[in-house]
Amino acid sequence: MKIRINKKLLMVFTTFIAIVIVVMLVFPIYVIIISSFSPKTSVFQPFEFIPREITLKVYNDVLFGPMSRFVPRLVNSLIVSLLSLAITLILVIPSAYAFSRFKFVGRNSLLYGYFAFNQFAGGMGLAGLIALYAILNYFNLLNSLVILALIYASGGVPFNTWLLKTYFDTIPKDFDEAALVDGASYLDIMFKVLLPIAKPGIATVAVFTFMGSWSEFIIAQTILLSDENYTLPLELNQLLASPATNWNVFAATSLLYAIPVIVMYLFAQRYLQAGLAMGGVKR
Amino acid sequence: MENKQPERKIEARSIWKTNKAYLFIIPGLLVFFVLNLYPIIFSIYLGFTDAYFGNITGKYQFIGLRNFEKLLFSGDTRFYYVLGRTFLFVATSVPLKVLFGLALAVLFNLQTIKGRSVLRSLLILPWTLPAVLSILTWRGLFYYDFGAINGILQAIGLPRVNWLNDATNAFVAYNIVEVWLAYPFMMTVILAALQSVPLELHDSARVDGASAWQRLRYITIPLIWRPLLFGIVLTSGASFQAFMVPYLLNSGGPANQNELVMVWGYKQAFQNPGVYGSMGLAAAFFVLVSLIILAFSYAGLKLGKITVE
Repeated sequence: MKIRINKKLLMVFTTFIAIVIVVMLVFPIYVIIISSFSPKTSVFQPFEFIPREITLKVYNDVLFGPMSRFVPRLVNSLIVSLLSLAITLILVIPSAYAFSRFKFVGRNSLLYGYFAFNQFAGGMGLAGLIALYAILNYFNLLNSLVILALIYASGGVPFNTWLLKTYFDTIPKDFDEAALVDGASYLDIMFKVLLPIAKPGIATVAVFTFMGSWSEFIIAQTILLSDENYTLPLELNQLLASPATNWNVFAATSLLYAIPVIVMYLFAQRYLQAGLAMGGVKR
Repeated sequence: MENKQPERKIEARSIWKTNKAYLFIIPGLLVFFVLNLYPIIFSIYLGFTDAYFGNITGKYQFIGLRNFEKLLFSGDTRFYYVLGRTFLFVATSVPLKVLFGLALAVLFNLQTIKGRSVLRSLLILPWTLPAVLSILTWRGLFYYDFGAINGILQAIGLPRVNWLNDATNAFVAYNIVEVWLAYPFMMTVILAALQSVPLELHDSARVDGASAWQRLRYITIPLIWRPLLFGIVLTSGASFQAFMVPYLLNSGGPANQNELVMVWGYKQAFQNPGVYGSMGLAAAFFVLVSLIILAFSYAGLKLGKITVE
């Protein structure tokens, strides 16, 4: 009897502690949401924990205001992210297909080279940026959104090739062989046999690539020289750079910036779950 | 890693042996080589030159080991100071990340908590947000005048803290943000390990009179040691290479006192264009830093194996 009472008490107590901790940890997110709906415009007014007034004014200014830089920066971010996604798919799908299906001289060393690069890339990434800057400077290619997209895509080649190759490996080769017997070319097999089945794998690569490009800061900061080419991460940093900056504008811009990431996250989850129901393929 | 069975199948059928494979691979390989691999190799070379903003288009000279000498043996590059500050950051942030992740994992593994899955998915939220957004938001929270943290401190009667303009406070702020960014990962890794620990072990130990601490120390920790170590090695590397947190919070400040290795190298290469040899020096610096990272990840892997077996 005594144990049962303790259990109930324990439940109330631990749940309470857990809720307090969760509230404390998501507090920064709460602050940013509250700030974006607050009518205050001055930086130097103290922050309100529970807003007295909620308004969409800041969002209106950010989205439609005549001085707003949000829309042009959003367009830049979309150009870079979608372009790097397209380039990634063009580069990675054929590579992954070849690594998964073909036997050729140098196959294993190339694969392990890609793998080793994934492990080692972190340390030398910033170092490579120095020479990359020099090279782009030499060819007058700095400050280009297209080049930035290409750099993002190239950095993901080893990881994405591995990821998609592993996915292609799970598709039985009987499918390819049946198509070959029917007179299909390797390209036909890639486009008409593998791609439809590998949609979840490709979606994974697409989501990783888009999210990576969407949130990358350092390379963009180094390569993009003029304001009008800035992507949203650089714009966010710039909003907080000057003390006169409006914190609420930063908050609203942040949340608008986070929307594609959250949408993609939800979309990817659903898609990947659909992909897990691969029993139909195996039969 | 490699799938052995299909491999053998490929060998058996010559239709898969084709030089056309190179046509499929070369585009990706070429772009990767030109924009990633070659710049890294070229950067190593730049480490032996006097390259800086003014001569980077091609008139820089090979100067042998001068950059390395300057970094290692002359006091004016602050190499050891920056390295020391970085190791201090690893020494503080890694235990904090691990302990915090462990504490959260243990807490949120308790069967007595109502609505665990909802609370857990709320806890994972920081993981889904881009790091730029999170770190800049924290910078706003740390502002002296209107930041929410000082707002709370004031509301409960404590003095405001000058978070980002004081070397020690800023270092504390780095740790707070680093822990906040990393705990979802640490918690998830440890939680997955905890859930593989059979409940019967705990029940029988409890019957034998083991305290909660003893059960954690002698049952849980030995069983989750391997994934925990995996998390520690990964997160140590992340702390050592921390760039976004110090750079976006206050650019390694105040007065460059909190520059960690990545921040120092980046600023040296790209933000001090007037300084002689700054790009070459930064490249040499990154070579040294990469060697240190390589040594530590090797030691980490070795350590992992020795301790587990």
